[in-house]
Amino acid sequence: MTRNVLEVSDVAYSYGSTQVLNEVDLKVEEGEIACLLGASGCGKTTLLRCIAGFESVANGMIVINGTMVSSKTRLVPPESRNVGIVFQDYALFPHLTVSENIAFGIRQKDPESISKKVSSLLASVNLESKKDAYPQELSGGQQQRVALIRALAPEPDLLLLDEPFSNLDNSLREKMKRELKALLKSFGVTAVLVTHNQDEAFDIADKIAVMQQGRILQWGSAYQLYHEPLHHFVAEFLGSGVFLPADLTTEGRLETELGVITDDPSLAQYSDTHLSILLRPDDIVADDKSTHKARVVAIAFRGMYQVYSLRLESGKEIQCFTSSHEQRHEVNSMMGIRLAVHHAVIFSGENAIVRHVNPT
Amino acid sequence: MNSDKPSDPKGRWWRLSTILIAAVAIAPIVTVLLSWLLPFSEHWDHFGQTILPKLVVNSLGLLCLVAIGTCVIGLSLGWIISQFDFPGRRFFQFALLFPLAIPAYVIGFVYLGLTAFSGPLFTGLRSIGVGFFFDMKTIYGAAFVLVLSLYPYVYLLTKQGFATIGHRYFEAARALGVSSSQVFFKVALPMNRPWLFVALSLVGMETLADFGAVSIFVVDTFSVGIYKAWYGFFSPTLAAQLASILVVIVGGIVIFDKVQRGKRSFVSLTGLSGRRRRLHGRKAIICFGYCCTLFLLSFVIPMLQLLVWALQLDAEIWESMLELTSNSVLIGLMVSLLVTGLCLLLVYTYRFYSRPFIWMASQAATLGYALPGSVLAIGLFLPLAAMDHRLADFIMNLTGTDPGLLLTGTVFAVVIGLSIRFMAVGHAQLHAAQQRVSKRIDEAAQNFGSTGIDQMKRIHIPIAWKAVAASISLVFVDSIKEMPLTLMTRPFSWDTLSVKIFELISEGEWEMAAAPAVILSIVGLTSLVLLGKEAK
Repeated sequence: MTRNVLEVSDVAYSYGSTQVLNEVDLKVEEGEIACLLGASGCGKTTLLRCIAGFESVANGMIVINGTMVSSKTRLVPPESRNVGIVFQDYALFPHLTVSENIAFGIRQKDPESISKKVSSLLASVNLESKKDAYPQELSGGQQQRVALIRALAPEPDLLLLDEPFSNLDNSLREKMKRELKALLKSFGVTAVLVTHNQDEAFDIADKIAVMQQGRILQWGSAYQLYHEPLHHFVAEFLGSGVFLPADLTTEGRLETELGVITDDPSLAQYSDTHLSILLRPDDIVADDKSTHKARVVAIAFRGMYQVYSLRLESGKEIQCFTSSHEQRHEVNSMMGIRLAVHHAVIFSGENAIVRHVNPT
Repeated sequence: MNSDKPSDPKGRWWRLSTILIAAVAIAPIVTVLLSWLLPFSEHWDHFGQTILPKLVVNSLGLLCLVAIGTCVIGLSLGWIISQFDFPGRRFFQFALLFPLAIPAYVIGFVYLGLTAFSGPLFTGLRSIGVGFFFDMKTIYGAAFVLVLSLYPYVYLLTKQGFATIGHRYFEAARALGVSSSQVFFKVALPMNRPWLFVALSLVGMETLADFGAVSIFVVDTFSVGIYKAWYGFFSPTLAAQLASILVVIVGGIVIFDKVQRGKRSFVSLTGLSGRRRRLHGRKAIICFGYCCTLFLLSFVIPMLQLLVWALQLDAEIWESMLELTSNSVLIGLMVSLLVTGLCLLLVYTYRFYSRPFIWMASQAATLGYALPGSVLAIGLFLPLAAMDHRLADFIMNLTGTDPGLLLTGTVFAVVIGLSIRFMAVGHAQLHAAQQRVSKRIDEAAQNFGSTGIDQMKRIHIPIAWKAVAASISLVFVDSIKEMPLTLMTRPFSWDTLSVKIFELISEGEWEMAAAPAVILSIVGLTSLVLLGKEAK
């Protein structure tokens, strides 16, 4: 049986007259890595700070490991929540060595067990040789690892990570992402991570909450968010894609200028409304034999693949990926394309209806 | 379940102490302003008609002369040192700050001694047949001395300004066809205005606060007027009323200063410090000569003359310095430790438990830097004297013995007065240091169960120990150099080095005064050099 380590229900937070968080619900199971994903200012860091206990909530409640820690009338202080935090700038104490930093959170224990714990943690991240170094003497990646094991030393019920990769350069970031995921899984720790970068979220998290304007729009796996977005913003925020106008017949046939997407009687109820369908670049395949032609507007070479920007007859622009080995079409020439849709993500307004489709 | 709104009872005590410190710090200002409610002294008519206009004219005249002088010298030095490379630049960059270590009244009496009719300058001139003589005891003489003693403020801040602005703007101006000499007036000077104005407001406050130099040059400014009203007319009320006029003038400067400080960041481009242009030939000689002349006038000549006088003194006089020095050191230690402790409280209340009014309160707590020592003395004396008599009566009733004057008859008043005056010095150091520490550090510590005093002890003081040390040494030097406040609040016949210098030069005993002056200057110089090394 899995149990919830973190339960956030109906949380609201405001700063002055600005509503920063509204009706936020979230459940994270033991051992799960959850991610709060959103653009800056969406409230993700505020939510993390509410969970940590640095901010009090205006409404709703936060329960950690069965204990209610935040509500309108209650604020258990951060030090009594048994929550570990890895800060964006790591916040390593500059006047303490690596070992002293790690020992800080367990300073009440007896010296012998402290030193045992510190050396086993250092060993787990291969930093034994740096135990007497000061934080300034470490590389960015090493600082991050120290910050991580310092947070894990008191064996927290829940680990919070605020933009853990934003201080690392690109090449290091790839490596650290893999390393962090492996470490979190090996410690078996339940974690909540905040990021604005979808690749980080996709790489590390088991489940992702996409946030906008203080609300969680969708909560699910990376696959679900990308292929079955339930919200216009989620569809736009994750990956590229276009919204192509579609017509729905009274029988439930969904037609676009690139052909029929699906034939589903259960959709009949939505006929007569203004609809559009999400097309990801990988939903469109180059096919010279196809009867549907589009004019090439621009070609961007990306190394592994190339991106064609195509203008349809209606004037709508769409994108299509092809392997970079494939024969190039010239700008202004016509190119044959066909649909290869697995999920029909149909929007009427802000919210989406998702149907599985058998690609033809 | 806890049904209270989240609150922090610990923070309440911190905030309360901040407000208490602020209240004590502004009490002298309030006292001085309230003095108009007291019955007018019988001297007021005479004073208002004959003396007051003279005080106003002298004070404002001196203010203008010193402002113009320090502006020209400080700004030109700041520009030369920050933009050009010439022989001696590295030495002068630091050495031109040395006058900060010597009190203006010391530079003042040395020049008086040098230019006395029987002094070395005119004796020397007469010996080669030049019978020319002028008297330095004029407003121009006082301005000359104050300019020599205060130009380092303008030099230091405008140099900082030029460095912050960066060469990129000057290069851009050159590229747009502005000649290199026009760059200074068209680009560098206008952009440096915020730094220049902050420096000039400091110079203004120091000029108005000066008592020692003006009184030996017999220029009656407000500081002297306040002293005379108190000790000449024995009228604390009149002194307080005069002080309140000075408070209003200084208040104007403080507001000007706060506005200018806010503007200083508007141009800052970081990491753009270009290379200094190397000067050759005549230009290099002119720059070297200019720096050299100022260094000689403001530091070398006064120090040499002091040493010449001091070396002629008997051992007996040096022995008598022992008690004065220990009094000064005692006062310096008490004030610097008290100020640093209180400033830690102010700075970390603001950091940990801030409320909108806390910033206001800590600003109020550091207002004393603007108050001339004579104003502070009178503003402090009146309430302390009132409290003293109550306290004495109370203890008398309780124990049956007369404790004497516990507040005004002991060093208590001196320590409190100097602490109020130099709170800003410690606060600036500690506030800047805590700003460099990320707020996440506090949160990390709190997450591990360390808050309040414990967090200060484990995290903040170890991180900011250099600022703590700087605060202690700067306040130490400032408080032993301070003269009028110590003179006016000290217990009867209890002297420090600075007070003794004033007493001796009032009697024209320049050679004797050299002994305490040399000790003071060495202490000041040592701490300046130590801090300079630390800053590098």
